[in-house]
Amino acid sequence: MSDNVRQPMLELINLRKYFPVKKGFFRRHVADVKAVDGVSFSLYEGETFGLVGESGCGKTTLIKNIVGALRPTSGQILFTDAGGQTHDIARADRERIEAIRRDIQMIFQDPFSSLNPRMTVQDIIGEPLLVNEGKGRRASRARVAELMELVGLNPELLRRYPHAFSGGQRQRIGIARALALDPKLLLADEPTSALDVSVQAQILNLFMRLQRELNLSYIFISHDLTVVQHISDRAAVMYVGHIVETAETERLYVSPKHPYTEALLSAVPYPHPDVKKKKVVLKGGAADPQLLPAGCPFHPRCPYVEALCSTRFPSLEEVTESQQHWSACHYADSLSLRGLDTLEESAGS
Amino acid sequence: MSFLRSADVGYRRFLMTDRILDIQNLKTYFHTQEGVIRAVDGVYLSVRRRKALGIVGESGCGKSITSLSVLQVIPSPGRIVDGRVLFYPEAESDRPVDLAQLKRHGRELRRIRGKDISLVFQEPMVALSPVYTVGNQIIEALRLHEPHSKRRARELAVEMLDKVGIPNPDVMVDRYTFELSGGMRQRALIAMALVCGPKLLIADEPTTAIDVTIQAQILDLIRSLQTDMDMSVMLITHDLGVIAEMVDDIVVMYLGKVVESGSLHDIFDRASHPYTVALQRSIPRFQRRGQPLEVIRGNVPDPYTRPQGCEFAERCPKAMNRCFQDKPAMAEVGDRHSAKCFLFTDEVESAPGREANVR
Repeated sequence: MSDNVRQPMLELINLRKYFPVKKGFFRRHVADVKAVDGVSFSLYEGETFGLVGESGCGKTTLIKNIVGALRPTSGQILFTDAGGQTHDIARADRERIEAIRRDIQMIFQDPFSSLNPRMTVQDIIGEPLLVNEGKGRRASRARVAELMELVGLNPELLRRYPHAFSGGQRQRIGIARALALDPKLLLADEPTSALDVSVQAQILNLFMRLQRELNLSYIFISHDLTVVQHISDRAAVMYVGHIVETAETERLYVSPKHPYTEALLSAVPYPHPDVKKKKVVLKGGAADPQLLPAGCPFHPRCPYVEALCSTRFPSLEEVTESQQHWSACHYADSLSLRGLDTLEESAGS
Repeated sequence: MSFLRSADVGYRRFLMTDRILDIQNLKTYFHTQEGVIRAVDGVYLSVRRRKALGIVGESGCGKSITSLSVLQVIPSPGRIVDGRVLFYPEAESDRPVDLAQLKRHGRELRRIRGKDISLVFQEPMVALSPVYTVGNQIIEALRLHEPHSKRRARELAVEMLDKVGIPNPDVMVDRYTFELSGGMRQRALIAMALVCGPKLLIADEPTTAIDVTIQAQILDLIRSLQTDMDMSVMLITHDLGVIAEMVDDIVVMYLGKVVESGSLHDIFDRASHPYTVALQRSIPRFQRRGQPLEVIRGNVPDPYTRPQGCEFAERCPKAMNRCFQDKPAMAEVGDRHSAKCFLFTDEVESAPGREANVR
């Protein structure tokens, strides 16, 4: 891997997004919901970065900041465009953000509510061209047909409305729309969660093919660890606003260095009856981002909790024995945690 | 009985071990302006006593409607048009109750609903009322079936909340459902379903809307309660991982029909029907990271038109000429393992019985 030589196309430095909680007659600012609390990572060209975590952990807030839909409370989002110029999205003005957005596009979870039912497929896919380049229906028709073909839709259907398409086809329409302006980076927020497994397979294959053909970079959000594992080069695990572990995907899954990652991996039901896993069933639910516990945010649920964990906050540190592998656990080096590899072996097949 | 064809005899004999629920040729249709939707179209399946049966399939295969048909809580305009739903409350030697024959709003069915057979739904926020406290809803379910005093019912409700792992049950009993987290709501719903000690629990995607770590807790809970309370379980899910962890027997459904049924290991190690095989191959697995996934070509056909031949033929990699003309019969492919495919039988599905009067 030549990652350390290459210049990252996207770099997040200590990004924070707090939502104020206001109470009382004067709408006094009483607390903050720390949805994203000091997140840093880099993304390289042509790479897929997977983001896993449970609902409410800040995954979606994080990518909304990247696309400029939310303004961060503090921190930097450095994006390098095709011309090699680096912009800080966190501080960019409206005009700049609109320019950058051509390079960064989003794909949404729900293919039913993310497409306007009153617009034809042609208008949906052509809308970015109309808004950004002033191209009307006639001017954009050839490009729309090309995009439809690219994502595996029959271009003859361009006058149809979204209701005429199945969930998987609608997700393809959403992808074609995102590709209309030749972006460099796609932010996919749970793009296959609403789909059946056989359709999910089609869409994942499409994502992988498009990446090869168009040299795209992805940030791929999912709560489904098997999906992230399949498609990502590197992955990060989030827990209430923090990245608790990040590494190359295989390393992360085979030898996790954070107890929360271990618990997540063991909680995923494995689709084979012979894999009898020793489950780490966590107590309670995820912490409330408004009332974070002192010390490590995960410590009330952690099976390996020590006295130190309830007092000192663990920062994301590189694990000594494993390179390019960061964990936010005081005991990352001493714990021996179970990953997926050991589970596969016990399957015996 | 005409549906007892020779090919099925071996499978049926196995099922003669103690069954609690036996669904025969169940048909639930939706008559709409646009036409008839055959959501459930001749389903046979059985739940063994104290065992768990999993129903797997993709959206639109009829798995949910099958489970809702058991207690006739089908959304309008759906209606059972044919078939039997035999329920054996105590032992199979007893005379069964045919739930499909009971009146939808009748007393007999209401007595069984929530008492002998309970349902747990996917969306706890939809299944629970926002204007009553958790306790109220559990107490209501309890007092509907058993003559407890209010105070005693409340005690039992608190006990049940404790059993399903809700912390501080004596406080939580007075909470409204919107004050609970997703996992806690699902637990409250399970508490409500189990408070009368049902013999059969029907769980329709009970963990689909829930995070994985919470899902692990809920699945653990259902499993331990199943043993503690001597329950049978019918679990409906699209997640083969959940199935692998939870059940003893599996039926795979496609377009309103059971296409394969067998034990857990039959389905995972010796999957026979091309649909089951394809379904399993489309799941991302660790060993094949980054490689293209195998896909099932095409889409589930629209609900108003049913193919003339085998339902899966259009998408099947092994389809032969006759698959497009005739519907295959359910064929035995192993001990207590059967598949509905011409690869294993030459027999054609028995002629549709009373179908003529449905159109």
